[in-house]
Amino acid sequence: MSLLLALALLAAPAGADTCVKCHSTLEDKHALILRSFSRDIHKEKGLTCVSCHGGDSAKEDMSEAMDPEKGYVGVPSPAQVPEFCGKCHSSPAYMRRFNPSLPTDQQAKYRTSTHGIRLQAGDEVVATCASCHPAHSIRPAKDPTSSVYVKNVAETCARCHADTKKMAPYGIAVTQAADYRASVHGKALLERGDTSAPTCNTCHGNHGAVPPGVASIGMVCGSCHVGNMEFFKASPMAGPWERRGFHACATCHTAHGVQKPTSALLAGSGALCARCHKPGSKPLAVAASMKGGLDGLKAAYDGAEGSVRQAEEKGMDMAEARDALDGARMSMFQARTAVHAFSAEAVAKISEEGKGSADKASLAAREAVKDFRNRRLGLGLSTFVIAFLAGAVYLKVRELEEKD
Amino acid sequence: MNRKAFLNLAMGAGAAGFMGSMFYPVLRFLLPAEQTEAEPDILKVGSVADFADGFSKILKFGRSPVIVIRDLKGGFHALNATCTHLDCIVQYKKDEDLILCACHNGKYDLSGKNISGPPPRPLERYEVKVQGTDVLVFRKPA
Amino acid sequence: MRGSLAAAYAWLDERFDLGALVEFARHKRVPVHRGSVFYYAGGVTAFLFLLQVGTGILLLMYYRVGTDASYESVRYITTKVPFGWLMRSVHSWGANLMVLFVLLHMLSVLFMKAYRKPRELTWLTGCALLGLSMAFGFSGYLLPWNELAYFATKVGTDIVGQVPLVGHWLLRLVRGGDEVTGATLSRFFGLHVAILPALLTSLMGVHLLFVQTQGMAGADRAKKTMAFFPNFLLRDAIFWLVVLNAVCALAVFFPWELGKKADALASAPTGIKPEWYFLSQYQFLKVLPGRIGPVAGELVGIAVIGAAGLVFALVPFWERLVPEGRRDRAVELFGWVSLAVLGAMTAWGYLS
Repeated sequence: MSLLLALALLAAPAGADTCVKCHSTLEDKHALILRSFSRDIHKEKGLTCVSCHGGDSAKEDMSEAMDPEKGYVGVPSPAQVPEFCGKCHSSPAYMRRFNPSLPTDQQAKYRTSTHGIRLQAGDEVVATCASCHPAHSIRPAKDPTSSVYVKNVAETCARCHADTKKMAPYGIAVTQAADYRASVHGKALLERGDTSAPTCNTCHGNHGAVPPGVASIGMVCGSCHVGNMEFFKASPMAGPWERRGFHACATCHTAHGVQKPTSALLAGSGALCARCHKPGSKPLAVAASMKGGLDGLKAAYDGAEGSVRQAEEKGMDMAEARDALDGARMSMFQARTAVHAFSAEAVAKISEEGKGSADKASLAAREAVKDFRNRRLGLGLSTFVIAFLAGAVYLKVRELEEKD
Repeated sequence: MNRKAFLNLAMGAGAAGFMGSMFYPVLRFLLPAEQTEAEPDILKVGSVADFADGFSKILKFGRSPVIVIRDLKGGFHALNATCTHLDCIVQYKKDEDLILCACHNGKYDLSGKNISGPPPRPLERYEVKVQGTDVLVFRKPA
Repeated sequence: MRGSLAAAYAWLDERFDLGALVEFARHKRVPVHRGSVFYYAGGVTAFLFLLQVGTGILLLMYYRVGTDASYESVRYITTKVPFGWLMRSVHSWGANLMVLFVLLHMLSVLFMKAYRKPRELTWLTGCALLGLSMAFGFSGYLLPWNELAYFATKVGTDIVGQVPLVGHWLLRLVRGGDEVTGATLSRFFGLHVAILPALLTSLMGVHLLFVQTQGMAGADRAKKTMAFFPNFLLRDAIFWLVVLNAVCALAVFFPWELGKKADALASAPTGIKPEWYFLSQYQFLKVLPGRIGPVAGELVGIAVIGAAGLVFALVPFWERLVPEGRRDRAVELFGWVSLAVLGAMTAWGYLS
């Protein structure tokens, strides 16, 4: 097969491509294909129409040029697409010539995906290669204009998954994309431009897209949130949750709409822990204690930060207080992570450490403000002394001049 | 007391007060402070004996935290300990012989190069010098 | 007390003939007129110089030179040493005020035409003193080794490199190498605490000697005069006290910032500008086109600034070319135009 394609490629003399010659005279749709193909990665790599569609672009005669005998394939049906692209993309020997590091397992993965399984069962509505990589205008994933560039993935998936009509027959929700955009991950990627933040395929895979199962969701989240996952796995919650089929992370944080967590998740009205644990139970006491630790640290940090800023506005050098504040901020991260151990002691220990740093900063800020007041007082005193002396000198001069 | 004597007295008192308000700060300035000298931009991290192979330590170096690592082969490394992704403090993973940021699983090799995860840039490197039994960290002169 | 003072005076007078000195000072008269207040600018400048020497010596007790210590020691002075913040801020503010008062003194001399024969050399030494004051400012600015200082020095010394033929050689001489490094810092330190103080002190001595031997310009023609000693000197002292108090107030309410440590690899901070007394020259060089005819714009700019400085310094000599009747008007016009150009360029520099 690849040999045939290579021959076809060689057989087409440059500038004598009869596909282009004829199709450019046809109506808009064909012209558009030619125009968009000029920026397609395949064109950039030297491929032409016949590379994918077969036939013979050297022949003037249409029936000869588009002869199925010569391997001509017109528009492939959705069911044919994976095979159509896989001709080349599943062939390591062929792909090596263009990009040796590009994987060649997309077709195999696709077959295991929910999309692929449905396609093989005869459902031609599901996504195939061309649904995400639009034919004739394919750009590599690293190109910001590509439909599969990390910042564009959510939009590409949402073209179908946010479409009520398309999703109705499958009974799948359509809110994931909107939830994701409003989530801490979506905001990091789309608003702050942190391209390391996860998008759809980070958790679901791309060519092998499936909903991650209960067992794997902890792994999926834990591939970035290592500390949280390790704490959780070692916590008393891990075993019982697994047995009951609760998602390790999504049960509290939701899947697509993950928000920046607050201590309110632990205790008080609307707390998540109270959904399962009975009022007055020991676990709720632990949750309340953890909330107390986090809130205490946050209050100490905010208070210290305010005092330090105040001192800085007065022009005092607060570099060391800022260092202590940085320490308190790190403790805040660590204490929030330690919540996943569901141990009151673990959170309390880190919170106390953090509070110690915040108190150090507060103290430094108070000292600085006091110092600032002393400076003004000192200036006031010396101004008085100087004014007195200047006045005395002036009177002395006057006295001297009167004498003259 | 006549006017002249009064003026002379006032001038004398004023001058004395003035001298006092000038010399007090100068004297206080010259008396040694609690910390008697500036810390130069070279950090003594500890003695070589403190650093077993695979030992690491995080300290403040000027305004930024520095992680000093003795790798499993006995080599010293010093890097800025602030992750280039979202400013968490990194740690040395002895079992993998690399630097990990636990916040989002960012990894760096011991030269500071970001090798996996979110970090967009390498960690800044500092020079380490062993002088006698002291381990010193300093910025490489430009 | 009074008796012992008199005895000490008598003891000294016997050996050094103090009476003659006092007699000499008493004979010096200062004209009294509407513009008399400007006569105090020179005295205030001298006082500010003494203040700089005093605070400078104190700062030297803790300052350390070197890329690994300069910034750290200044930070130590301002945060850890009692009243260190005061000494450092007074030194920084005092430097600015000193340049300001040198300029004020100079302009008043120009407008009063006090530079005229026989005082041409007093004027020339005054011009040199202005140059030395600015060199003091430029070299001292680098010593904290912070970001602003580093880039200001880089830009400032770059200009030296533009001089034809010897530019590169000069640049290396000033920087102690091709780049602004620890070598530059050492050099500027030596310049700031040894070479410039020696030069400025001796030149100021000559300047004051000229003033004392020749007396104040116009004193012989003035309708009303006052004795230099003690009347004028005591009044001068009042001004010194006021200026000292003002510098302390500036130090308390607007402490001089230290900023970030210099980093050769960091990109230059945006909107970086030199100190105000270099701003007009800087702005002028900045707005010149890259090339003027066959030569680099910057080179033309340096030549123009140099020529303007020379014309200013040589006023006592070229003004004689103007017919006597129009001479005063011409010099005043020259003064106002210079002031307007400098003021406008400085304002432009600030606003752009």
